[in-house]
Amino acid sequence: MNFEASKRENENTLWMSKAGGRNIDDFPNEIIAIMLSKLDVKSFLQARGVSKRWRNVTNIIVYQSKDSPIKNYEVKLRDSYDIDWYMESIDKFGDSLGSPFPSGAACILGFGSKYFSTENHPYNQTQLVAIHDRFLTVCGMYIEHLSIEKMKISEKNLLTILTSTANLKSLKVEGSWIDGKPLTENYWTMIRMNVLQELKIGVQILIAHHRGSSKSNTMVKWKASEKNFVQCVNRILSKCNGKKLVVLNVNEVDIVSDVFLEKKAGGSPTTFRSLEEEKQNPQNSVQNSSFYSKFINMQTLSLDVGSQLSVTTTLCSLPYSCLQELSINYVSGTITPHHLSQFAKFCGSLRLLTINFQRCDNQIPFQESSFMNFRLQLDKLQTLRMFYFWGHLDFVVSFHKTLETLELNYLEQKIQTRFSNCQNLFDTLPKLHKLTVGACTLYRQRV
Amino acid sequence: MALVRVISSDGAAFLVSQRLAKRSGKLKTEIETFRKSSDNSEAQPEIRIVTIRAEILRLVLQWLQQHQNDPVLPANQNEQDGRGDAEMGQSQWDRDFLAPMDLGIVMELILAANHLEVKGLLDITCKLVESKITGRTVDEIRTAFKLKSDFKGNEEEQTRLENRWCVEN
Repeated sequence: MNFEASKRENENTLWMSKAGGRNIDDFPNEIIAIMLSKLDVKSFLQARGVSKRWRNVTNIIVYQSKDSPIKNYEVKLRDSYDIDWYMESIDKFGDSLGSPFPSGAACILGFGSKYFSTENHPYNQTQLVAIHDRFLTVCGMYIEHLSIEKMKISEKNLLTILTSTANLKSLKVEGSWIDGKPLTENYWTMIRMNVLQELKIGVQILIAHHRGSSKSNTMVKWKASEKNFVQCVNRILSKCNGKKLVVLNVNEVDIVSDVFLEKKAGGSPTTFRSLEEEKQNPQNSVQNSSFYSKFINMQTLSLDVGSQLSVTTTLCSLPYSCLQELSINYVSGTITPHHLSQFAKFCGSLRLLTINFQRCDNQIPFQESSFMNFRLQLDKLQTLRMFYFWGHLDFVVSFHKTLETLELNYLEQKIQTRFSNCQNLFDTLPKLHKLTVGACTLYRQRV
Repeated sequence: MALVRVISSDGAAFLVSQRLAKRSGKLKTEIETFRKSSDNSEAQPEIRIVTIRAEILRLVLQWLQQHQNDPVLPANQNEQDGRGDAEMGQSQWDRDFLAPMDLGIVMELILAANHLEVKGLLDITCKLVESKITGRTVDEIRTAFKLKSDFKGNEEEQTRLENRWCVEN
């Protein structure tokens, strides 16, 4: 013990020797908080280690006080941690509810396994705002899998999340409304996605036609939201490091609207308008494609993009040299035979193809020779799923070298006639071992 | 001059001016309550403080007497604008006032200042205790305040790990 420490201890002993019956433990928490909140950061952290009660008080100070001693140390705190240290702490101590520091921050559900989801968080949203602002600022860099669903969080908290997560590997975004306002592309300008591998975007736009508001107003809102969705997707994709993105899942724009349903019955004028606009302004999609031409390692692509033609056109014309799984969900005239031929041209490595025509209003363009090009280019296809397609399926036999699984749903009568003897398909496709027609699944008989 | 009789837990009575007494949030409320409930406006309020003994009450009143011309601080000033005793500064009189006190008295004074809502006194006494924590290790703090660790298992080790980013650098 050095001289200074010895002198200090003597002073303490002298002071204590004169102490009466009162002890600092007699103080209410708020007085202890007053004393501890004025300490310098090192003394403050030392005080955390004195007792459980002091530790709780310091935690409350960090969470609730605007001027906590660690207020200006978050950057240092973040820089001081390494993931091994954090994981070691989690392994050793597990969760520690209420701690504002990373080794105790495993109270955030799944943080220990690098997952963070706003949807399945055990706290209510008020606590989420109170705790996670600070938590995410400090340790958001360790979150690798982030799921933001239905936007139950506040705008402030969303911004914290977006600016804190530096090592995101997967991002799932569901829902487009936050604090009653539509989510705009500006939110995504700050998110860091340099190492993003998996992106799932399902921006659901719900516009109900309310009594008292005119249908034209509802349509205007819908169109604004539709445009907004495209901008969000564009923004997120433009932020990705395309060389690392291997999974892209763009889900539908789900519109529930009296107006929309009425329009859809007679064809969707909005969609057709978008088509016409696209044809008139092909340069727009060329400009957009410069964003995407980097996705050369994409392995799984799922497109269910409603009437978002500009997104579709761009995504269909990329050089997916590694694409192995492709799912397309048609809505109206979103994807044309030209898009399919583009895919076939760029998807030589494709092993799984799913095409759903359930909501496709007009299949006539696909009943000609749209799929004939496939046999030339998709020579590695192992699984083919065709839903609600009533065109010719002759092209299927072209995949005789590789096709192992075939699923055909909602077959029209003439297609059923064509494949009345399913056993023929097993003869034609020598590698086929599973065939599903409607609700019936057949397996190759082993000899 | 209107007076108020303040009686400690051990029965000692202190006669002070109402102006002085009203510098305590608690006494001010009690005086106003007495005024509302009393028919005689000339009656002298009598306030019994059952949690504070005479020696401590005398010290509080002494401090109030000395600081009777200071501006009254709102109870939540620190939260409001971040200014507190640090900005006010601690006078030489305050230092002389606290110097002969042992820890037990200071502790009681803190509790009394908190109970009577005397913000300035609470600040300087808390500052004194705070100075006994600053720069100390965990063990030194425990020794200084006669505290025992109630951590179980490896909770203490966990806390130490949480603090490592700053304490060990």
